[in-house]
Amino acid sequence: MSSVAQQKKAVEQLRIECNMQRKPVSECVRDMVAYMEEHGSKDRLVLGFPNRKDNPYLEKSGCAIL
Amino acid sequence: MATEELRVDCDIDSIDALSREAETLKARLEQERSQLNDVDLSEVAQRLDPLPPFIMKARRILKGHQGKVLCVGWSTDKRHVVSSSQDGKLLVWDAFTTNKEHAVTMPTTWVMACAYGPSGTVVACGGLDNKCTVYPLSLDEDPATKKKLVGTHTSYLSCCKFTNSDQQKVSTNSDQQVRVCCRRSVPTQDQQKVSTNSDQQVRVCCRRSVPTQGQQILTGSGDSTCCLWDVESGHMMQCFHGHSCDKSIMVWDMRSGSCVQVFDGHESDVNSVKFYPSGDAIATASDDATCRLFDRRADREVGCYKKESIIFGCNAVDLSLSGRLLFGGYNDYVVHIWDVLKGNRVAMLYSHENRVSCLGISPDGTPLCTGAGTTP
Repeated sequence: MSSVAQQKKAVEQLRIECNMQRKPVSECVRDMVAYMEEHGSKDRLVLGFPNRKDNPYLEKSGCAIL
Repeated sequence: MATEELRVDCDIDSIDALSREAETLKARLEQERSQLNDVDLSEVAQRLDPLPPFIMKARRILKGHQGKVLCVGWSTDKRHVVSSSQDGKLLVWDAFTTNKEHAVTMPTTWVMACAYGPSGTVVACGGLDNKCTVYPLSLDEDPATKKKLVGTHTSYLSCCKFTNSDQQKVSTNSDQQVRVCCRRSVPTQDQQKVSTNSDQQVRVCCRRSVPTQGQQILTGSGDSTCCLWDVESGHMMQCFHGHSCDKSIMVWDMRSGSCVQVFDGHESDVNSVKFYPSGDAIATASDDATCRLFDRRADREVGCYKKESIIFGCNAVDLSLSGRLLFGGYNDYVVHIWDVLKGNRVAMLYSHENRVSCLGISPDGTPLCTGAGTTP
């Protein structure tokens, strides 16, 4: 591809990017916080397990009924 | 002769004109982006409650690879893990029991990409063989006998992902996009082999899928392209060109194959990209020792996660289920965990004795799997 064609393509790409719709950061951040609050109750990495037994990866205690 | 000179002149003119237009457009883009930057993420976060103390322990160690683990992936059953390594092996683990359920020896070393299929019955992988191969998992037969070649690149395979039709339910808007990001492999000891092959590789990750009749696989390669393949027929359905090794992150439309968004900001190569769970933002990890968050609707960087004491590059990134926590696997052998909103580091995980090369959070959001050195 010649350099003119390359440059044309780059300009096309920039035109597309210029014409996209944008939203203010404040609005985006508000939505992000809302998403976190909505899903936060299910996020075990944030809250941990309400009960230790709920963690399937916890080592079982030493005693077991045979 | 005269006409030739004239044509050359004309070319130069139009190149000049085009570069001028490009400059104007870039300036306009910059201006529009900064106009909308009306608030800082950390300012908003100040009003929020701090996170509860972070408690996390290494619960299982999956030992078995003879070389550096290059990629890990969770199954949708939240129990199985696939991992691939420099030693040319692909292993499928039961994460509960730490048993190895399948082992595949690839005809190549440096298996740089692996992924579990959404059905949980197939795995895909590839590496320096330039190929993306799918192995069905069954307990009766050796997976290697049933292997299927899906796609071939002109350079090594750096990453592969199934397009996941289940995720369509999650996504609220209908645009289907692939996020791809470019990376130049650094000439470190580990990667010398890689960089002789090619110095560019593409990372792929799929967020929303096309309505899949058959299954499709996305692959990223060292030939700096990214392709969408049909698993059944092995046909290439879409190819995404355009990466030029430029520290940028590109968002692609999977249907048209065109680039819809480019994010710049990283000062060094970008190693890993992940969609924020809502699909509106992208988290990235880079060799410049930072992780960043780019918002797709605001079309700009909204968060940068760094600390002066962290000077090593970050290889892998993932987000917790709600997107509040960001996990980064770094070259200083540590997994640093960041609060996405407040921008501070909440915890560090020390369990590896080598660089953390890959990490992944299970689909149910609880366990985190990291890969490094010789133990994933």
